[in-house]
Amino acid sequence: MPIAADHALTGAAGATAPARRLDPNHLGDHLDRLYRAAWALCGSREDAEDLVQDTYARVLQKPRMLRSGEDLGYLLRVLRNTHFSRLRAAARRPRADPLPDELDRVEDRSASAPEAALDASQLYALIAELPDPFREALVAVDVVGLSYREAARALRVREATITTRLYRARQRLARSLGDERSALAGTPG
Amino acid sequence: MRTPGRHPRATERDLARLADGTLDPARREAVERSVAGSGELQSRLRDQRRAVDAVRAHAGVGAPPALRLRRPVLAVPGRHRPRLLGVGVAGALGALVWALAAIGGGQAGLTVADAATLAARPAIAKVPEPPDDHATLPHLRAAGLPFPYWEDRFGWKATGVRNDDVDGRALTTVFYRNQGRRIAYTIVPGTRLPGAPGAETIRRSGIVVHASTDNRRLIVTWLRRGHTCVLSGTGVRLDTLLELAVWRSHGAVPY
Repeated sequence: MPIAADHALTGAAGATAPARRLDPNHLGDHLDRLYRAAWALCGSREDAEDLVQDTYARVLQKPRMLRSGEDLGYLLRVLRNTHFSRLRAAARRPRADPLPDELDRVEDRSASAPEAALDASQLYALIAELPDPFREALVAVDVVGLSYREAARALRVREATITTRLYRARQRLARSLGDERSALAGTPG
Repeated sequence: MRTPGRHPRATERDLARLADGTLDPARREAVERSVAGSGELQSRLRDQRRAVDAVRAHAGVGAPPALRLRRPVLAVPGRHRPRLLGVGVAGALGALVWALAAIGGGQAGLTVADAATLAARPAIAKVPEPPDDHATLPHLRAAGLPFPYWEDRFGWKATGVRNDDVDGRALTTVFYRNQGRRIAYTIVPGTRLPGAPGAETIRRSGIVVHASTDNRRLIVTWLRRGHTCVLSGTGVRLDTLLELAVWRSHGAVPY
């Protein structure tokens, strides 16, 4: 369930720091981490690109006042809310279709080694399959790199809740990774 | 929540933090002792570490360059906003909100703006070169219509293609490039799209073309055999898009 609003000021934990305006020129600093988070939420690189794009567009709609050090947590929350908004509009979301066989795929020069990219795709697809609360905790802490406290603030839950959800998310992910490996090992060469 | 078994002192939270190195040092020793004495806890900790390691192994995955270019800058207050078509963009914020509303829902049906957003996406396949003297690209049709080959005549080289499903319609977009500028030609099969808000209507070579702007992107739309064609680009002149849109090569490009 999405958080109701991605309003400007974050939770009470940061209340001692003065609020300041989110600098649009520094949003790019977080792009890589948000992209990985989006990929893990969506399970698809293409959807992740769109989600990050939409997230930035949403953030830039109006000035945002944040407390110091809360930029990334705030962006993650907007990303998450935008993800849910996009799911609601899924029927209208552009979806890549298969291309005719006679057309060659374009080389993606931005991609790293194919094997590494494949592994990342598999990993993020597995994360995307986790139940929402578990996936969000894992994305916030392990993918984005927020502290437990920051993650709790970003997702508006208690820190203990984040920790428990994270434990269970990792447990499920490890199991899925094991299944994936077993499946690959069993694939005839 | 406590982990069941003979070592109740190591909780799930302890194991989570032990695995990623954030467990309080004062607590760490006791937890490690518990784990050392329990095969079950060792197995659980292995799972935690396995997941952490898997995610961390991909911490170097970065956003693709195309996404960096796509980050919207329109809403930054004070930026210069170009005026096009004498209509002008109704304010960067307004344009952005309008575009988001068009994409994100709220109104039913595909719009010109929806189709034009595909222009910002990457190509996912190459376009084959046509034989000499051909006016259309080979092997590429949408709603039975071929895409024009513009390189020899206008200098616009077809560089790639992508297919998307938007609102239940299969859209095909061909990207063209000329002197560093990129334009996108999308054929939208089926019922004609409603005109964009504020679009100007222009008649050129007997064809009715609608011109509008969206997020600094100049967009022209027209019909080919009842299907909507959307041609758009940034940094290109309206005359250029109009000339391309209505080029029929003496009937070799079917309209």
